[in-house]
Amino acid sequence: MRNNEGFGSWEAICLLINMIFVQVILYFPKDASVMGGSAGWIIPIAVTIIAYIYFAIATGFYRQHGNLDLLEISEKSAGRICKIIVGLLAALLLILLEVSLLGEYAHSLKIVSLDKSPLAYILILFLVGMAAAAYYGIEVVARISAFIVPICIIGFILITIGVIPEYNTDNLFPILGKGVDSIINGSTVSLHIFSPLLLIFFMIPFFKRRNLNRVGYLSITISGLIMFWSTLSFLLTYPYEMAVGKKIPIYQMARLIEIGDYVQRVESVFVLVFSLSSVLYMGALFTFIIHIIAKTLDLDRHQPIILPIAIIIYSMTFFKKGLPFHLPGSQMTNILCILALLLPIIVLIIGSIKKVDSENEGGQNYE
Amino acid sequence: MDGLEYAYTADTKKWEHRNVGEPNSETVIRGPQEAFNEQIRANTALLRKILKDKDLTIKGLTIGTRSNTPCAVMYIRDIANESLVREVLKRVKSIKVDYIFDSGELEQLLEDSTFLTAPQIFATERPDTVARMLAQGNIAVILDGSPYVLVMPATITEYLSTPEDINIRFPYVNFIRMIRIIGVIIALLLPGLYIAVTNYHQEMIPTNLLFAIEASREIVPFPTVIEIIIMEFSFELIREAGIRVPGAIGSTIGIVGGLILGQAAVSANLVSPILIIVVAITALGSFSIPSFSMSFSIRIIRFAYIILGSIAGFFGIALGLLLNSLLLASSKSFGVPFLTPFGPITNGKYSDKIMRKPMWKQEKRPDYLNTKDIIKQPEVSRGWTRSDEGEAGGEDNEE
Repeated sequence: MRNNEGFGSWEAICLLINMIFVQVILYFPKDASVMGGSAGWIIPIAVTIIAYIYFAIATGFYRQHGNLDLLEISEKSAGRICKIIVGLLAALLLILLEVSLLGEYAHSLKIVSLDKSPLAYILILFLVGMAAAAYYGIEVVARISAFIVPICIIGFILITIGVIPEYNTDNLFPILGKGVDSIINGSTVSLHIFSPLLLIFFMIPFFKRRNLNRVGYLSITISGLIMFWSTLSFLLTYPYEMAVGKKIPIYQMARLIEIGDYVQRVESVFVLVFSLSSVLYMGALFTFIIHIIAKTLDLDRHQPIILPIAIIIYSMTFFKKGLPFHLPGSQMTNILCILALLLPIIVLIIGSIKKVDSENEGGQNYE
Repeated sequence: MDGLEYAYTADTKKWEHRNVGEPNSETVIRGPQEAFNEQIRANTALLRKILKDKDLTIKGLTIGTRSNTPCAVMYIRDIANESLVREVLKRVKSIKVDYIFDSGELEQLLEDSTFLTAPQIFATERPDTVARMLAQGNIAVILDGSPYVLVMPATITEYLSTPEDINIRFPYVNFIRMIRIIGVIIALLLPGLYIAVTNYHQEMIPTNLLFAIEASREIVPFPTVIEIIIMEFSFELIREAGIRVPGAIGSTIGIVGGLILGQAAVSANLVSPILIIVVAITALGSFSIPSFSMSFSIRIIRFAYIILGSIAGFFGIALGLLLNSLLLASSKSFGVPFLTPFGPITNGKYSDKIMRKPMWKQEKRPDYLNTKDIIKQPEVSRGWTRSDEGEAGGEDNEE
C-alpha cells in the first residue's frame, strides 16, 4: 500500500524527541541517580552511544529496503502471516508501553496539579487527546510536533537555567559514583528509554526524500543531550542521597527557582510543559498503535478501531497492578522495551536474507 | 460596423453605484486608501491599475441560474500554479444556486470545511492586498455586487498580517508583529489561563496579588468560571450592539457598556474588579487581530479554553492547545495546509513567516503555492549597493 501522506525530517525528529523527552523530565534523572549514584550523569552518555550503535546496525540492514516499513518488509520476506505476527507483536509492545506510561503520567499530574480530581477523570482527559490525535493521523500529529516540541524543550531549558544558583559541583563526587559496574549495568537497563526508536521503522514511508540516517542520528543526539543535561542539572542541584528520593525530578527543581519577589514557585510552568508534551506523546504513541493495527489487518479506515483500543488501554491502566509484573520502572518493563528494540533488527535480518527490495522505481536512496 | 448598411442606437444609461471610497474595516496609516465597491468592472479596473502585468488574466463567469451574477477569476498566468487555477475554476463553475448576492455566500460555497472555525478563504476590500497576493501566486475571485474580494489559498500567515506590514520599515513591522502575536495569544488564552491559575495553580501568583484577588473575590457569589462567562457574553453583546446601532451612538455604546456596565457589575458584587481588567485586556487583544474572520474564530475558541481551564487547569489548557492544533493542522485551503509554513515546515526561503525580512531579502515567493516562477527578485535587488568600479569621477560624483 503506497502511502500518499508524508512529512519532513524535522517533524519526524520532533516526534521522536518528544517521546524520549517526556520520560526524561519525569523519572530518568532520578533513575540515573539510583543506578549510578553521583556518576549518574555518565549513564545518558553511555546510553546514547549504545543507541548510536544500535541504530547504525539497524540502518546497515536497511540499505536495500528503500521506503518500506517493518510490516511491508515482513510481508515481502515471509508472507502475510509474518506481517500479522510482527504487526500484532509491535502493537502489543506499544500498548504495554502506553498503558505503563499513561498510568504514570496520570498519577504524576494528580500529584502536582489535579490532586482533588479522581484518577479516572484525568485518564479520560488523556484519552480525549489520544483519540483526537489518532483520528487525524500520523501526518497531522507530526506537523504539530514540529512547533510544540521546541516550545516544550525551551520551557524545560528555562527551568534548568533558573535553578543554576542551586548548583553545587561537590555533588558530582565521587566522580565514578557507585562504581563502573553500576554505571555499565545502569546504562544497559536505561536503554529502554530509546524504545520509541522502534517507531522510526514504521515512519519511513512518510518521509519525503528524507534521509533515514539524519532523522535517527539527530533525534538520538538531541535526546541524548536532553537526558545528559537533565541528569547533570538534577545531580548538581541535589546530592545523590537526596536525589534518589525525589519523585518527578524536574518538578522538584522548578520548585527551587526563586528570582526576586515575583519569579517564584514556577513549578506550574513545569506542569504546562509536562502536560503539553505528555498528552502529545500519548497521542502520538496511540496514533502509531492504531496505524500499525490497521495496516496489519489491512483495514481501509483506521477510525473505527480508535474507540475500542482506547477503552482497552483505559481498562488496562487500572488493571496493571493485577498483571504478573508491575509495569512502571520494573525490570520486566525494561526488558520488554529492549525487546521492542530487537524486533526491527530481527525483521531486517530476515528481510536481508530474503533480499526484499523496495518496489520504488528510480530508487529513493535512504543512505 | 463595416459591411452593414444599417446602424443601431442604444441608450447607455448606467446603473447607479457607489464610488471608490476608503476601506471600512482594513484601515491603514501608510498605504493606499482605496477600497473595492460593488461594481465588478470597477474592481477589476482597480486591480489592473495596480498590476500592469500583461499576464494578468481575468476569466469571466456567471454564477446563479436566475441571478446571473457576473464573477471574475483573476490570476497571473505565468506565476499561478495551473492545478490551483483549475481547482478554483472547477469549484466556481460547479456552483448550482439560483441566486447569489454576496461574496460571503460564495466563500461558504467554495471553502473546504464548513464547520471549522478558522476561515479558509481570505476576504478583503483592499485592492492593494489583492494585487500583492496575486503577485505572490494566489488567485482572486470577484463577485459583482460585493465589495469583498476572495483570495485563495489562505494560510495562517495571511490572517496575522495587515496591508501595512509591507509598507513600513523593517524594525517597525517586526515590532508591530510581535505585539500582534502577543495580542492573539492574549485574546485566545488569557481568560482560560486566569481561571486555571486562580483555581488550580495559585502558587504562581505573587502573595500580595493573591491577597488582593482573594479580597476582591470574597463577596462575589459566583465561581470564577461563571463570572468570566457572564462578562465575556456581556462583552459580545456590547460589541454586537455597537455594530447595529447607527452613527455616533454606536461608538458611544462601547464606552457606556464598558464603563458603566462594568462598574455597575463590580459595585453590585457580581464580578470582581480584576476580572474586568482581564476581560478588557482580552478584548484589546482580539481587536489587534487584523482579520475579521480570524477574530471571530478566536472569540469562539476562547470559550472552549475557558471551560477547559476551569475543569483541568493547565492540563486542560494543554489539551485545548493540542486539540486546536490538530484541527488547524488537518485543515486545508485548496490543498494547502492551513498552518503552512509552520506545519508542515516548508523548505523555501519564504521570508515573511512570523518576522518579515527586509524588502531587499524578499527574493522568493511562498514555496507552498508551487508557483511557476518562484523568484521575485535577484539576490542583489538594490543595484546602487554594488560598488561603482570603472566609473569616471570622484567619490562625490560631482565631476
